[in-house]
Amino acid sequence: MATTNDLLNSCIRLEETRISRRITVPSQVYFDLNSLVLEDIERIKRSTHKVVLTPSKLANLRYYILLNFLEQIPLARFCATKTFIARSPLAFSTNYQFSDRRSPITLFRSTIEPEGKISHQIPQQLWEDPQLLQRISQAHYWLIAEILTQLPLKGDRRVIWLARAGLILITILIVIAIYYFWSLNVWWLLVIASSLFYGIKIIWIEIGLQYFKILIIYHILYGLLANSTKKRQIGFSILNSTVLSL
Amino acid sequence: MHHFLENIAAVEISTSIVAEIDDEIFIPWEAYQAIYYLSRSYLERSTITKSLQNRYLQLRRQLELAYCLLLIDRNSPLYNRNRVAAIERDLPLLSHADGWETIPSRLPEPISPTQEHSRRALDFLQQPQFIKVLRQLDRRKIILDRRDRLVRSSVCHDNITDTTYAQTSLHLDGKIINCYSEAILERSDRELLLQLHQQSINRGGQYWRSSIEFMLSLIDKGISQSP
Repeated sequence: MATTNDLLNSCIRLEETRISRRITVPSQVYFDLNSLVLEDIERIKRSTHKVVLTPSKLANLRYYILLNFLEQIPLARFCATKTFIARSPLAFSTNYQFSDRRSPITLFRSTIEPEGKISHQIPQQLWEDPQLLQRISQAHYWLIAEILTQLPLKGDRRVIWLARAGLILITILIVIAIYYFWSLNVWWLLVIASSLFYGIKIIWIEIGLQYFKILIIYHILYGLLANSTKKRQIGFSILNSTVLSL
Repeated sequence: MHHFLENIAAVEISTSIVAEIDDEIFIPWEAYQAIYYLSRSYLERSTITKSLQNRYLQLRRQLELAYCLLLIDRNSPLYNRNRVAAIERDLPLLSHADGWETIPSRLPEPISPTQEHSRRALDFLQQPQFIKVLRQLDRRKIILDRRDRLVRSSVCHDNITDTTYAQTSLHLDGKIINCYSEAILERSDRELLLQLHQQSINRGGQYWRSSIEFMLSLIDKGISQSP
C-alpha cells in the first residue's frame, strides 16, 4: 500500500513561518485536495486503511502541537522563560482545487485552541453545495483524526527491556560489592537488593526521567534540536524511548 | 498530569458559515491599536451599526481588564505594587458591562508623544498572557467587523453568514450548554445546520482528547505506566 500512503502523505502539507534566521515554525496544516484525491480518500476510508505519516511529517506535526499546547503542561514555565514564540490555535484547513479554477480555495477549517475552544468554519460556497459539503467535511474530519491518533508517543519495547536489564545489572553489581565488603547473610542481601531495585527505579522515574524529558523538550523547542526536521525527529525518538515502565 | 487540565473547565465547540475563509494574520501591535481606540464617542462618530456598538465597547473593556489583572498579578513581570490597591478598587466596575468608562484608562497609549509610553506599550505586547487575550479579542473584532458589513449591506434577517450559528460547551461536571443563533430558527435548512454542528461536536471532542493524549504521552507516561 506504499502508493496509497504516499498519496495521503502528499496531500498533507505543513505551512511554515520563519521566525528567526535559524528557526521556522509550523503555522498551519493544509489538506490539498482535488476531485481525484477526494475520490481516493473515500476509497481508502471504505477499505479502513490507515494513514501512516512519514517520520519527518510526524515529527513536524508533533512539534506544531507541542509548540502551541506548551502552556498546558507543567514544564511550560521552565521553557517559556528562555524565548518567546507567540502561540496560536492549531489550524487544519482543506484546500480544494476546482477543475475550472486557477487556484485552490479553502473549503473547511478547524481550529483547536489549547484552552479548549474548537471551531469549524465552512464557506458559504460549500454550504450551497450539500453533496460536496458532505464529501469535503468527511474527508477533512477523517484526515485530522488520522493525524491526531498517530501523535501520542507509544514507547519502544526494546528500550524498556534494555532499561530493565540495566537496572537489574546495577542492582546485582551493588549487592556483590556489599557482599564482598560485609559478607551479609542471604536474607539481608535480598532485602538490600529489593530496596535498591525499587529505590533506583523511583529515583529514575520520579526525578531523573522527568528532568531528562524537560531537557529534551526544551531542546526540541528552542535548543539544539529545534532548527531542522531531522533534529526534531531525533528529539521525539529520544522522548519516545523514555516512554517506559520499568 | 493533573496540572494539565487545571485551567480548563469546559470544551467549547462552535460552527460557523463564513463568506470566505481567510488566513488570519495577527499582528499584536495592530490589534492593540484597533481595540485601544474604541470608545463610545469614536463609535458614535463611526458608521458602525448601532446595535453592535456595545459589543465593540466590550472588547475595549476586556482589554483594560486583562491589563489591570496583569498589573496586580504577582507572577507577572508587569506587577506594580503601588497600583494594586487602586486597581482592586476598580475591578468590580471593570468586570461589568456598564459604568467602567468612568475609570481612567491604565493602558499605555500606542502612539504617544513620549517615548517612554510607546516603549511601555511595546514591552507588554511581549507578554504571552496578554497576547493570548489580545488574540481572542482581535478574533472577536474580526467577527464583529464582518457582521457589521453584513448588517449594513441590509441582507435578510435570517442570514447567518459570518456569525457563529451554533455553540456547545461540554463542561467537566457533565453539564452541556447549547447556544444557537436566533436567525437559524426561521431557516428552512435548519435541520441540516444542526446536523453539521452535531458532527462538529463529535469530531471536536475527539480532536481535543487526541491532542491531550499526545501532550500526556510526552510528560507522563513514565509515571502513569509504572506499577
